[in-house]
Amino acid sequence: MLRKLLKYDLNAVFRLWWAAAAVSVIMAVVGGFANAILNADRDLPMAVRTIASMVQFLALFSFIAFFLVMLVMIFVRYYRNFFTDEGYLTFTLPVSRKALLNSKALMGVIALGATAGVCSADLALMAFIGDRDYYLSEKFRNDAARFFKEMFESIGGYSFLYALEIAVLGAAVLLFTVLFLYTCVTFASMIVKKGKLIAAIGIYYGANSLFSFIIQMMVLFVVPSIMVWTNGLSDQMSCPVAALMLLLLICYVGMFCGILYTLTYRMLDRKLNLS
Amino acid sequence: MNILECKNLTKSYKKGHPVLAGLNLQIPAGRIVGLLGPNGCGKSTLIKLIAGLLQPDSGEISVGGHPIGAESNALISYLPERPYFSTNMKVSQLIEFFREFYADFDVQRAYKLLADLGIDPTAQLKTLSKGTKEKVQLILVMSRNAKLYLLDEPIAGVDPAAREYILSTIVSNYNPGASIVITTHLITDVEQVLDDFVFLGFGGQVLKAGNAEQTRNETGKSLDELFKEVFRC
Repeated sequence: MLRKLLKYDLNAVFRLWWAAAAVSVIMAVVGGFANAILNADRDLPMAVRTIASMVQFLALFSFIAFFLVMLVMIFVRYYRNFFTDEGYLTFTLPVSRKALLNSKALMGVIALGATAGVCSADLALMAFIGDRDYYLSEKFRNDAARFFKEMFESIGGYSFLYALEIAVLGAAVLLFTVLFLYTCVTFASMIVKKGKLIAAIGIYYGANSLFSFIIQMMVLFVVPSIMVWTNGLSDQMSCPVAALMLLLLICYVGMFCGILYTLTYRMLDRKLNLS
Repeated sequence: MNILECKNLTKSYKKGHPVLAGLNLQIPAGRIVGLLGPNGCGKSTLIKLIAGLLQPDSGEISVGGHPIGAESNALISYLPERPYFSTNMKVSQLIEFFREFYADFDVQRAYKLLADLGIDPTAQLKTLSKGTKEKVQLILVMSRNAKLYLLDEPIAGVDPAAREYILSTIVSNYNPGASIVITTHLITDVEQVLDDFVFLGFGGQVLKAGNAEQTRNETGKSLDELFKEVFRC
């Protein structure tokens, strides 16, 4: 049943995703050409430089907008399926509440992951068009080969472990983003009878601001302490410690994902009120 | 064997104001039951509790021996009082959706009923009138071979001709071994199709229940007349 639910969820979200992705790719190409103009001639008139810079900014802004649009679409899909009249159909399907939530969580992670992938490709495309001669030259290939060689020489096999850990961490962060959104929407829909949508947006915005503040404080105070501590470590110890810290970070995000999932599931299972 | 059993069912939206207070109800298989009562007596609340859309404060519900959940949902075909479909979907996509999720869905019956009413399966729901959307919903619900049909106010807000169509669709398309629970306060219209009735009073108390035909013979009154007597203001 999860496969069937996921099929409908992905179809609904990806119906618009293709259009948004196409716009972001077009903007990457346009931004790349603007970048190329700026790189090609340093003595361009001020007006041309300003326009090209603005186009570059717009291209970058379109990537952020693409991500935000997908977040809004995931929000709308979840809210409409669960807390509007469509909930009468959703919650009377012969599937468990867990399967319904799992499908929505997977849909969110896949959609945001695909969006992040396209945005990364857009950035690469923009950079490539902007400085095509360099990226097609022997020099770029040598630079890239030297970079990977030096990295492998300094951290060895840990580079693969780091890559794996970063990929898992990325997926965990995406899952957290999605579950955080769902928890806020579910909570808002449980506590208010009218204006659920406004309450959901308000609670998400408030909770997101609070969480961002906590993360910033942690970055400000905890990360420097860790850096001071790791700087004191020997070369032999620094790689395993860094890998362990990444693992701890994954566990930390995973723990929050678990808490949010449990909270949302319990609210859907025990407090659902489609009166 | 009872297809539906409710034991000491209590539900309140506000503390101290129970909509249902210790309701006990059994519905045997193969019966068409009218859940009748004035507006606000808890008919829709009871239906939503059985469909799993609300959580009871206390008490138990079982459908075909299963507690409320995915297994009971597989046995129930629920028609809510308002349209619940995504209007972006086409009628044919909805049929496909029902076919995928409900093992007991009869695709051919659904297309036949659509053809009888001249509804284009390729039409998008947002292009259909409110009445046609309700008919599509009814067709989908009645095209299932469910064990229990929960029809919440299926004839409220529709003209008499449409009421007749709705009732004939229900009676001629339901799974004969199944039970149907119809909630309504328009008793005259549904009386002809009911096997049994339950009069639900405020607070969710069962004021009177029984076999419709037998009650009419014993009292010499129609259910509508009896309803007016029981719920006289």
